[in-house]
Amino acid sequence: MLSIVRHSCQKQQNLLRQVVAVRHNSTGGARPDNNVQNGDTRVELIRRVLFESPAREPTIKLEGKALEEHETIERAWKLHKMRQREQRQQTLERQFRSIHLAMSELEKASDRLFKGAIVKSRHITYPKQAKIPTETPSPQGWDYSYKHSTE
Amino acid sequence: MVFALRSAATIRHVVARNILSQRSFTTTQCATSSHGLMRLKEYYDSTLSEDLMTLTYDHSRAAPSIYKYPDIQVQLDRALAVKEEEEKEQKQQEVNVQEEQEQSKEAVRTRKGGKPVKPIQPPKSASTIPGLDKITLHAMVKDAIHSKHNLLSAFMAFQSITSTRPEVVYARTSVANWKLREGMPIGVKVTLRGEEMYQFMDKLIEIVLPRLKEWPGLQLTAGDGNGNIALGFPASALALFPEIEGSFDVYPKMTGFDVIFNTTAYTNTDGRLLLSGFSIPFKTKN
Repeated sequence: MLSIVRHSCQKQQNLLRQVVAVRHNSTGGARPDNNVQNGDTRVELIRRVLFESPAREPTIKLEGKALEEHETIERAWKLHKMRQREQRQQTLERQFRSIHLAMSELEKASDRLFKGAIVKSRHITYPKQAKIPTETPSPQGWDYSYKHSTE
Repeated sequence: MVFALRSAATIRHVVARNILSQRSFTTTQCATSSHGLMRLKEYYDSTLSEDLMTLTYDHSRAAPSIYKYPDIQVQLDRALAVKEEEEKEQKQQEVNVQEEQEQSKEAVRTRKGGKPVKPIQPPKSASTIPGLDKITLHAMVKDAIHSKHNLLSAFMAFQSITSTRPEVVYARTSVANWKLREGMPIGVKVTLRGEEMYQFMDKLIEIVLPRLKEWPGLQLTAGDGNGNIALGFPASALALFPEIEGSFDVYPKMTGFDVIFNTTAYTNTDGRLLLSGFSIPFKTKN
């Protein structure tokens, strides 16, 4: 549904943009009298674009061998994703088990350290400096002069 | 390799479903692949989930140990289940006269006035890591009271931002002060899940939130008590979205809207941890 709706949305937007560009080609300053008219026509246009767009047939119709190939690829990809998911889940479970084991051992070993290892604050947040990785580096490059602000 | 033949009906159904994920090689219409890249999801899967598991770990309410080998786990579970049944039978024989008081925890918990009860937090485990479940966008347009055509702008705006068809929200009750009648269309709403949700969140985090004027970040007390966090935007925020930025004049009326992050966290702390992990700024003391 995703790609078709996204594309139909783009088409609708393009349509709207073209019509409004023609209308506003000769505008100068603010014209309050025409605002109401423009608003009404814009609303009418939006209504038509949203609810009276002509229904279109799907452009691609796969048949026979091509369809089989496509479906095989889809299934293989889904299988690959499923295996990745399961691998991830197993990793997490292993990590959880080791955390649990470590905390149990710590509890037996030292009371002070165990209490220190428990998260007490209700307002902990993830560090701001840990940004989500991007495909390309920032235009400013690496900030060598950055200093972590200590509270 | 042998592929199973399908009947005509299933082929048609499958073709209809798969057409939407086709890659077209014509110049007229280029359909994007639905197996898109989701930067935030990848980040969550590779980095954030492990960190969140460590940060939200609570030794006093950790789930009983899961064994490394699932076969042994299954056998143990079965053996324990059999043992439990035997114990239950013994108890029932002893306590036959008394009524069944062994109700589930959920049935016993009630609040005065029949108010809704909070869900019980399950014991911590690798499968109860806080994550994003869905994002809900919602806008209530007050001008829709005297003319329902005023909803169209918000409808179109939401459709452009999220690339999903919004749904219209109808009034639940009548409010005389605002001349609102029950069943009147009064708002627009979009529920985002999966790929759409991550794409929208990415836009929000990278483009919209940094450009908001005089917004210090979410409060450290944000949250609805069950790990979901909501955020309200003024009408000017709509113009910051890349889809609307270019064709600003097309929309006659910009509306403010709210975004609700529904998470799988059970406490506000966990919900806030999750959102801060996605680089949503919080208003800290310094």
